[in-house]
Amino acid sequence: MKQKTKNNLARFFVLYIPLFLFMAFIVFPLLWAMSLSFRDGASIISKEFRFLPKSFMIDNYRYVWNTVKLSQFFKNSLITSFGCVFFVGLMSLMNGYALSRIDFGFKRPFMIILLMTQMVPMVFNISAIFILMTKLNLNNSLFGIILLHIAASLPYNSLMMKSFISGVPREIDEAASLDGCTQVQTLWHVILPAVRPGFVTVIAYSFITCWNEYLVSYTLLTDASKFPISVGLKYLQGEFSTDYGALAAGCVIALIPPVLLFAYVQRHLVEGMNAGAVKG
Amino acid sequence: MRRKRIFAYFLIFPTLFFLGLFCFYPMIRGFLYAFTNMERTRPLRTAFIGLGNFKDIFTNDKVFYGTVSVSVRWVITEICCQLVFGMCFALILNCRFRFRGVVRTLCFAPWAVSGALTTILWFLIYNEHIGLVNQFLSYIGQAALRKAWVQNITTVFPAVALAELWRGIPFFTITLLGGLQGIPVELYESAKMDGGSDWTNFWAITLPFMKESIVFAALMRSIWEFRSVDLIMTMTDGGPMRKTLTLPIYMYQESVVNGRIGYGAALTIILFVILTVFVYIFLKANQFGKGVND
Repeated sequence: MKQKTKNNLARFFVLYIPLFLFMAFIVFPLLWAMSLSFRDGASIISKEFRFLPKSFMIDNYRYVWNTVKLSQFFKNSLITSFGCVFFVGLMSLMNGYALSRIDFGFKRPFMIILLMTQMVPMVFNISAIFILMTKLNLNNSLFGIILLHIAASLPYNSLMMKSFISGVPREIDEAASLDGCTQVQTLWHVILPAVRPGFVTVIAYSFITCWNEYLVSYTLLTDASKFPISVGLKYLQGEFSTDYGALAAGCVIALIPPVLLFAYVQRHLVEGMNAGAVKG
Repeated sequence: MRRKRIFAYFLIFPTLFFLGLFCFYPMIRGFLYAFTNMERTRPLRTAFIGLGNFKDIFTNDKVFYGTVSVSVRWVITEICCQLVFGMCFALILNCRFRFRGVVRTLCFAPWAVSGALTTILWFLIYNEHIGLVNQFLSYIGQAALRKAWVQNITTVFPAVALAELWRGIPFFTITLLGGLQGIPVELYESAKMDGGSDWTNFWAITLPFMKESIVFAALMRSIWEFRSVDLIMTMTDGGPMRKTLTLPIYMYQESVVNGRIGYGAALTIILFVILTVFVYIFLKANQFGKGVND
């Protein structure tokens, strides 16, 4: 009994207190933005400190969704993000498998190529990309944006996938090939299930980078009906005055899909995925 | 074995195609400008000047060395804090407790917030008049401490660094949590039978197993922090008094704002070289390539 109270005390100090501090740091700004989004302009600029708004008004939300056409931006972001995630998931799995499991001559150069793409800031590439996309006639199209997003998020996700696949014991796929599985079958039926927590991380990661991407979309898209949500929100920030309430409401709306996705994904990150996969 | 190798090339071919077209072609094109005096305002007088831009940067440029030191300080602050706190929270979130799913989801929310949104949010928080920090200081009776946090030269760097940490720690946490899930539970069970404490288990099992995840996350994150522009650019634009002017932002100002495309390209090459050297040393130190050749 005494041992148990001691354990509980230790748990309290080691687990709950850091957890609480961390949560406060992370969640407070978000709650504050949410609180702003329910207020009117006069309440926002008033000097008094007030965390909960006096009254919950949803005018800000109605305004951004209908008048600012955030609904259209939202749809565009969904299209580009899903398009990108599908290909990035598939191709990073392929690259990760090749890098982790097969010895081929081009392996080291390929790793270096993947790393090199990360070393140049996007702002530097953007003008040449603009010229290239104009030549390919993919300017101002969501398809072009999807292609660029794939190229941008592929290197990182492939490397991440490689380290996840390396964590899967090799015995599993050796056993599979002894059982007569082809390479494709091994990859699809053995590696993919074993690496599922890593795979969902990659999916979530590429979705979120696409969802938030700003620079490329801002440069390439001129047609306001094709803007993603990140660019659309920026237009709420005026040069001289900003409607803080509407901006906060837009931020909250933009946050919903990634957070929902993560709520779904984190359930797949269950512990002990590899437990029992290899015995002895 | 030969078929397996051919299969590997088949697997990586689509990626090579994409990267060649959308990454390397623009990159090489951009690099070539570094050896010219190209300026946006007089494109027709562009001429090849060899290493002239580099000579200028190293000998005449009074801003350049300052930006490098700000960049280094930025990367070290960010990576150390993110790695330590990220590891702690990955371990905490890996424990069982009630409402873990909700807590995990909420903790990763900042990671889901884009650069543009993070900026807007923290800009509001640090705002001199309506900001959360100042309102809170007044509320607890410390009105004298009220500051324009982002405009003040002593507070600007920590303020921006904190905003970046807010978004960066969850990133580390999720990457490391993914790695933690991959450790076979049996190892802990047998260690428990051998009488190992949690502390020794952490050093003997968790860290060695996590090594690749940690090294990889730290490497990528260092590169990104070094070349990151969005947050600093929109919050401070390198100011005040160049206290937050990092090398990529200086590059952006020269090439995009001032239109000195050639000079900006030369700065990018320097940035690229610094990163390459860093990555090389980092990988050597951690023997990252060890798994590649065996």
